[in-house]
Amino acid sequence: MSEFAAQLAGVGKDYRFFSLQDVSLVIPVGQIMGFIGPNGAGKSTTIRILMGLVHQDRGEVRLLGRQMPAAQALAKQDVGFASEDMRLYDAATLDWHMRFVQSIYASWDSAYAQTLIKRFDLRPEQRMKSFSRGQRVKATLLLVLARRPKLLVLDEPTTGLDPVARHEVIRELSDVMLDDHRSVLFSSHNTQDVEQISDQITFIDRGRIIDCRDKEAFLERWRRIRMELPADLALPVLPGVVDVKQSGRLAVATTNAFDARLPNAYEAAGIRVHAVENMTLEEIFVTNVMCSREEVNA
Amino acid sequence: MNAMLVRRLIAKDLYLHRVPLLLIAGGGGLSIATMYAGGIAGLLGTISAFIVLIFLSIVLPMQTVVSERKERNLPFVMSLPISPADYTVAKVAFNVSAFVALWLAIAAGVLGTFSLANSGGVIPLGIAVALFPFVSFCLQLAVALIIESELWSIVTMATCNVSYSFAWVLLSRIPGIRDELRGAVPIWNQTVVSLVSIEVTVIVAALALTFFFQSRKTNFI
Amino acid sequence: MYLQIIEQVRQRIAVGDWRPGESLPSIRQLAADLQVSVITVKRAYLELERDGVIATQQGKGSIVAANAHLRSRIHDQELAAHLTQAARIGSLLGLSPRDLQSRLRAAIDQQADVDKERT
Repeated sequence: MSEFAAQLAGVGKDYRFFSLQDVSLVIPVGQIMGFIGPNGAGKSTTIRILMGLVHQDRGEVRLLGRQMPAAQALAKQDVGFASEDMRLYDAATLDWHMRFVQSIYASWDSAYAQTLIKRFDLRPEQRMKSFSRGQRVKATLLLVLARRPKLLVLDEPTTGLDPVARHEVIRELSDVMLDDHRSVLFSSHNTQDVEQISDQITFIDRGRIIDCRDKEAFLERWRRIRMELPADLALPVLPGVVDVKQSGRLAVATTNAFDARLPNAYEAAGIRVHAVENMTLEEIFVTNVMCSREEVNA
Repeated sequence: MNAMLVRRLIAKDLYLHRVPLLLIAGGGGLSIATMYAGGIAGLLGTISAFIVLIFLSIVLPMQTVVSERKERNLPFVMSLPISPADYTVAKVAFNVSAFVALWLAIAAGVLGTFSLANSGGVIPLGIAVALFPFVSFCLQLAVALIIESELWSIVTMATCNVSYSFAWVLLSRIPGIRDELRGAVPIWNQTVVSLVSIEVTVIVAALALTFFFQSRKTNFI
Repeated sequence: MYLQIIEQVRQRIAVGDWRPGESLPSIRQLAADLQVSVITVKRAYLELERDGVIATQQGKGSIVAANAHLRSRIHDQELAAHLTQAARIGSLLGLSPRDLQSRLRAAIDQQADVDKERT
């Protein structure tokens, strides 16, 4: 059908106090995309637009090659959606939900569902009302995973889970990777999870996409350079350096276009480079957001 | 429109809300049975049957539409392979079928009992009155689906409830209604016919507007 | 993270778990097993191939390179990496070359004691 699991092109949506602007995103088939953004950045809105739950004001949306929201019923046949603000019916049991979902989707895998029950340590005969928060999240994910959909769209799948449960969920998401026709989009506050299993990463802030590239590229392009300046020497401005913090004679430069020549350039200017450090995805993300906000304000 | 999915959604609603519906059926049956004791019990049974219908008109939209949204079950439903139109069709179909089934049974039971007691003259007015909860139901369903606000649903429900009293008062002042009530045979005079026509028109309009406004929505969640 | 994967593969080969000519797990299989992203494993495999540790056949996956001197070569690469690291850290700590050399001497002596105990 298409080599992309999902595409958004120039998508915009206006609310009274918030606007999604010119959001463009592609998820290639067979990849996992991590979606990171501060609260209120527009992650959930973008995901809802992708799922056809909200109609965009501008731009084109394709889910598994189908135009959204027009062809949403067809598209959703092969898409599994779970969001943090979604709840199953309190009065019904997990088993009822499983049978309900099974009656709708031909791709339901009963054996895998049973495996997940054991792995997630859930009791199907229990009513959803008496599930703890973590169990609810796992139950919702089970309903989505057992169908083995071509695309998984997950809004904060690990939020609110204890470390053991998180580990189990990550493990199941990793198994999805075995099939190179299946793809995942997941948004998360937990940059660690995103860093671990994402192939592509997208940063969003204040309704705009501020960066989108493959994970290794992110990790390779960003560095912190710790330096010591000799007295009375000012730090030269070098290309690719997005942030500088200085306290006394110690300085830290952050770059998003790292090249081996950069520390050499500092050394050539008489500055002693103490260390060139990799940055975690969280550090990259925070710096990226801060810089882009400064740019907008300037 | 996806017929299989719509059927599943209707079946789901039936399963989830079986208890209130059964209770209402039971309450209606009990009311009708009470009428057979005669005398004051006949009046009490009739009033209680009317109250049961009022409950029905409230419970159905509240439980199947307002609660689903409030309890955040709606994203789960909308993640199924359905379009918003499928959702609306399934909701309206379930609500209207459930309501009509119980309404017909209870109204027919009450009016039939009158007929058996040789008070068939009550029937035309009885039908007009029995349609009050029907109209109220359609308005509440429309508001619940279109406006999506618990507050407005409650306002609609309260307004309808209060209107019943005014409707009673108005009815009793219409000339020609009172006399026919005592007869054994139902007589359809112009007033009652007009009244019933207005009610049916409101019902159909409310349902049509529901579909119309639903189809124009751009934010479904 | 991809460095850890490279390290793991090298060690498996050095220890003899994976012999020359033997197939490595597919990129996706390894990614799923380690619960890391496919792209990280891809990168690790690419670098291993560049270093001649593994060879990739189009459509058939990767195999351990058939190189008779592979083991010693890997160990040699390991040693080079460790020495570079030691020099760098020594410099950060402000050690003089002599200090660093005596530290290395001490480590060699320590290893000799361990080896003696084993035999």
